[in-house]
Amino acid sequence: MNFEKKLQMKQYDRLWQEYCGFLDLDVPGYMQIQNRLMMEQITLWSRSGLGQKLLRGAKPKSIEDFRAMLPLTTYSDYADVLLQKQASMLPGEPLIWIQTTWEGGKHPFKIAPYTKSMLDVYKNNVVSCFMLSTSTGKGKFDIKPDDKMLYGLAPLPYATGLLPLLLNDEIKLEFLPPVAEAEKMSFSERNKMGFELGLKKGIDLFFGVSSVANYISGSLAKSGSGGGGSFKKIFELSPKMAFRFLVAKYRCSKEGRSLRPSDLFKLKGFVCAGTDSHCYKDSLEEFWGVRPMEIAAGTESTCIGTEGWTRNGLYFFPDACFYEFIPEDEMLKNIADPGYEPKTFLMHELVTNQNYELVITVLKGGAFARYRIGDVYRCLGHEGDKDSPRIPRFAFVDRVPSIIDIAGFTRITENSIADVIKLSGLGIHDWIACKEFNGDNKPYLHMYVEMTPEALEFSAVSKRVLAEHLSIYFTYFDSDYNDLKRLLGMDPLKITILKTGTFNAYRRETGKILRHMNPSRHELVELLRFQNNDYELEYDLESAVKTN
Amino acid sequence: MIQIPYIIVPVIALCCYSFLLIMFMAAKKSKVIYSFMALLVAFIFWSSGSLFMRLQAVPGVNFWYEVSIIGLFLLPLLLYNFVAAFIGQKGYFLRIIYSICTAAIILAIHFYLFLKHPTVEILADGQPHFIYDITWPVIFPMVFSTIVVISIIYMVVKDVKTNKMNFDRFLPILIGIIILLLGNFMDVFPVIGEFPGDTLAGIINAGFMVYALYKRRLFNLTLLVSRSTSYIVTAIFVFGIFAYGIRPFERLMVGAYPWLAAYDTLIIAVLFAGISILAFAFTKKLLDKIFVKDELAQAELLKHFSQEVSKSLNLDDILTKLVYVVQKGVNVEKIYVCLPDEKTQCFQTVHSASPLDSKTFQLSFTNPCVKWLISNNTCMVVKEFQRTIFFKALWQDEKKQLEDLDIECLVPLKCDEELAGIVMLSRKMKNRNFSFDDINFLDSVNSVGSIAIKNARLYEKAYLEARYDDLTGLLNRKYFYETITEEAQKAANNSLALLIMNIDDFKLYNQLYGNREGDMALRNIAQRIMGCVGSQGIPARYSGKEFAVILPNFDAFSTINLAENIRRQVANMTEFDESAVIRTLTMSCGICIMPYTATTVKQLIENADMAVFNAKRSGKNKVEVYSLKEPQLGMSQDLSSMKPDVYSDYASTIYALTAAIDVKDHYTFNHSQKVAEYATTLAAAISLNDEHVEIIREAALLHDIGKIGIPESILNKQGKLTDDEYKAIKKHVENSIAMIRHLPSLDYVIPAVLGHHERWDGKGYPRGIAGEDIPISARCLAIADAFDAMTTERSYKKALSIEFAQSEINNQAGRQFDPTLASVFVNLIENNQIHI
Repeated sequence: MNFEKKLQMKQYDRLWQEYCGFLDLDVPGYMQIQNRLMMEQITLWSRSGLGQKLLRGAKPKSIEDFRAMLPLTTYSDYADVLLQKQASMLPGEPLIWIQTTWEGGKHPFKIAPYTKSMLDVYKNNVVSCFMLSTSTGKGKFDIKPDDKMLYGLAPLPYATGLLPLLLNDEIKLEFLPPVAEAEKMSFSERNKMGFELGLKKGIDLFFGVSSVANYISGSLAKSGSGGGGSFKKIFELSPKMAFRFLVAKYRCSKEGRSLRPSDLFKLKGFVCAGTDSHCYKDSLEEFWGVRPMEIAAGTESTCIGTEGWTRNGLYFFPDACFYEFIPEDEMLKNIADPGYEPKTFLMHELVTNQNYELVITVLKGGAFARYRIGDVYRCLGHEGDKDSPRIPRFAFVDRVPSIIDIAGFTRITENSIADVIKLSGLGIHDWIACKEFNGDNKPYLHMYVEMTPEALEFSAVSKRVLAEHLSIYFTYFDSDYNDLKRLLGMDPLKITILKTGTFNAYRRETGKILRHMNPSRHELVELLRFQNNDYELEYDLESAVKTN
Repeated sequence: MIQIPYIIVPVIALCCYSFLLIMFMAAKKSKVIYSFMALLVAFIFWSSGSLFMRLQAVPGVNFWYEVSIIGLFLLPLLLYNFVAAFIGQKGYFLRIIYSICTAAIILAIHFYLFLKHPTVEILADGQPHFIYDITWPVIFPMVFSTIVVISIIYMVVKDVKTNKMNFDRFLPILIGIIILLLGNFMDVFPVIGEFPGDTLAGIINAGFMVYALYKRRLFNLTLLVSRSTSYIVTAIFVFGIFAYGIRPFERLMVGAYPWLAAYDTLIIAVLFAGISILAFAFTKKLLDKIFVKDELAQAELLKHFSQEVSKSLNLDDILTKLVYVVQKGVNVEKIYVCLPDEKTQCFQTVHSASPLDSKTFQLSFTNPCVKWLISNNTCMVVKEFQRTIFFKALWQDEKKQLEDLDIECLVPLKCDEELAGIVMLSRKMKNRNFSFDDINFLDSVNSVGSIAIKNARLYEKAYLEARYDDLTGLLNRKYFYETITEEAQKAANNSLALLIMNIDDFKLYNQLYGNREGDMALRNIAQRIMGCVGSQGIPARYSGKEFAVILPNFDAFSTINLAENIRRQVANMTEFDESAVIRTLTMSCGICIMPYTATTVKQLIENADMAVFNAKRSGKNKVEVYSLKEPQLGMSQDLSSMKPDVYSDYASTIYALTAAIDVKDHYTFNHSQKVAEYATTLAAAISLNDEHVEIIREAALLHDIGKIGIPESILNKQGKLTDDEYKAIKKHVENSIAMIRHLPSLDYVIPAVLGHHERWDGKGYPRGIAGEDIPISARCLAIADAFDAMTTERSYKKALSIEFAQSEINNQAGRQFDPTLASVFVNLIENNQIHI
């Protein structure tokens, strides 16, 4: 029986229990499910070819054994098996392979297998997300068949393309635009058609990557605020929408503001995902009049977490993955010394207000075990009052420092920046890259570069020239980078040219080597302080040769 | 009599309401049931008031009018209460307001503020006509009623909208209310005439409400039908018959048979009683048939099941009955009973409805289904379980297993909060769902079955622990003796073979590889023995390193084959193990068969033991059959020449020991030699086999070896020994054993040495055993020992004559000595086969 049929039976309490009942679990109950499913996964995974390869023949009999025997993994450990789609090596038969870009990887993209059981859990969890997105309190939700859903997500083979397919199995929602048509359209065409259909039919649910959703919302507002053209559109709208449109127009002109989507649509649920969601939530709420509900999902991990009806933090589903957490200090220790194996902790061992890098083992026959997905979460606590959940609550902090993810749209690594610098041929002696936020809380990539004396002497060097050069090459490496400007409404790259010799002086004076990606704020301040000092220029010829 | 059209409708209405009220009085009460009963009371007020007013019954129209109108104006409030309780609405503010308003309205009715009493006018056709004088303030209660109805609708709509309430469940109540309103509305149309549409609508409305309550499983319909219900229905029926039938019947009877006029009261009374009895029987049967037929059948099944299982402690028997009662009571296709198995930590299928059903299914103790059953005290319907959080932790294989077996319901067998078992039921016949009644029935089966199963399992456990060896799972020594005795009795006209297998050098094996390995080897050997013997024999763990197999109807040939088979298998046990070269275990096997070489169980065991000793002594890892031979005369003269070569290995040890005693006490040395001679002559005379005779000889040579430890002053003391000295002398038996047991190759002589001072009447030492419990070798030694002691001169006594010794042996036959052996020995003396 699918969700729609259950909905017809109107047993709403039972539906809530079935899909959102995990929010009623206490930590021991939650861990019981985790441990049990993990034991199933250990059995499946250990006897698979992939498991035997990574475990080097070891046979773990318990979760403790497994954690002791298998070091933490990254995609490189799986690449040879997964990129060749060697299904016989996997713990479960894959029904579908999902693709995503491999930031800084040896291959342009990475793929992940999904078994039937994984898809079943994914489906259930996606339904839970949508139920919760419409909920205003425990046990209250409002989803009906034929609700209109506007979605700004990539189609298959990307993970987001699974969503309409899975939801369609459970409940017949009307996607704007229809899935079959959307797959043939470009990103902007999809958005345009989605708005148009939304204006005609109304929108009940909205699901999108936060930055994209923000862009779509802005576009919708602009298109609605147009002059005479917009009045022509009235004739294309349903009487209900036409009436709303006219009332909204009148209200906006009276209040002297531009049209907002909330003037036209009464959203029941709003789901957003992606890095930097926190930067967009306020503006999205302002646009739509509904606080977006954030979810945590990924290609390798599937849909792993959702916010509850209070929208104040993410809760992880107990049946999608087995979760381990690397404390921030351990993570930094590992960045400084890649040979160091960081310690991991389990859900019931977490400390409130600490940041943790997430490590997952995908359950239900998934391929990834003790896999570092590269996301950092902050544990917000697990103290629940009478009605609120008692399991740990999280906030997505960012990607791990070695990856700079701007608005969930492009992922920049140390290797990709080094390649860009190399290709650009610019005389850059040394650099660091940081993710920073502007006054509007919008993310951007801030590069601090030090030019070689030769470059200063013989080339035209200015911030603008550098930014343009690097932008061109970033676009070359990452097609999504080009869309960033449009999505964010700002330049995603900011350049600061440091005084020649700053890096060497820093190294000499402090004895420390700065990491290129996201060094700590204190280290950055310390570095910038050296700019103001007078020091003797010690130019390292060797490194200049290398970077050139 | 007043003729009122359609009087039957309000009569039926009143009966229905009363009947429902009485039924619900018997039901388990809840807030909703109470509020429904209150509503029924209002309906009864309304319909009874209206009926009796029309009938102008006592105390009068005014009274009944007031009853009716109060019932009518109570309806909105009680309807509101019922709906609020039905949907679980909290909060009392509106209820209090409505209650106050209703109370005010009732007060106002009493003071005729809205309606005055109707006046009765008799029409031309003789029918009464009620004229109401309606005043304008009647608008107040009407407005109030309208407000209450609106708030009921609002409450329902709000609840349905906020998804709290399933609208389908509320639908019957809504339909009932609409019908009630329509019925009242009908009265406005003159075309309907005098038909009491409002009353009929009231009946239908009550029916819908009962249906809504039943759908929500707020009561069990069958529970409502009790004996008292039958009485009431009968009373109404009989009252109706007599109210309308007595007079016409009396007239008819007296008219047709005037001579009966004098007895009419008596006849009618008897008739009344008879009809009452018949009516009751009929009503009871009818109600049972309609409502409680299934429940009665289930109750009967349960009663029968309860009686049956309380008599039995046999687990299989109880499980068979459990499966039967569930199959009959619930009508399911497949039933599997799973019981906990501590070894595998699973609930393992042990019984099913059909012997052809697969019994490989198991539920791990950590299975979420098990957790659910432990934390809930009722049956688990799988479809409902799938929608709980517990389901998330189910493994894919576990889901598939449930699906493959088509399991739809799991019944816990819980006793004292402990899950004693799980009964799994597949789908019901004709694809029906498990009903509320089914679940109740299964819960009852659980209550009865779980206790029976727990007791049976405890009994079985105690039974097994008492009879079986923990380590190997074979019969233990104690039960082996019981079994072999039983089998010997059974095999009165057939053969009974006993095979005893002794692991060679097992002590060394334990020392080399540790006791854990040793235990594992014992388990493996036991498995092989069980595998080879199958159902043909009964294997047992006879002692620490010895196994025995009781083989009814086996002859020597088949027993040897079996023994060889086991021996080979054990020898090859470690053939796939790399370290097998040093870890190989071998066994020495001895066989004795009744009635060929033993006539009693004791002989059977002793002889089989003897055969094992022989196998050991003749090189180990072999099978020996105990055989009897003709007595060999004159063997005592040339004992050494008849001694088999195999014993020569031990001869030096025995010589060394006897030489030691010779140095210490020459008498004892000579005594031992003589005792050996007498005892072997006796043993040969009673047809013990060569090996047995040799063992007795060696035992005789060593029987007093313990005297080495006794001071010479005591050994050679002249005169009577003190108590302490006698104690020291008695200790020589233990001393002998203490010395011999350090010589594993000679341990076979221990039974003879240990028992040579035991007496046939049980007064001997050290163990005080009697009769045939004393090994035959020891009994031989005892006679030989006593004979030599009597006929030899000691420092403290002179030698007694042979005749005296002969008569003393005769005298002590049956007291100190085995009478049979004593007689044989005396015969040997008489025949000069015993020489001093």
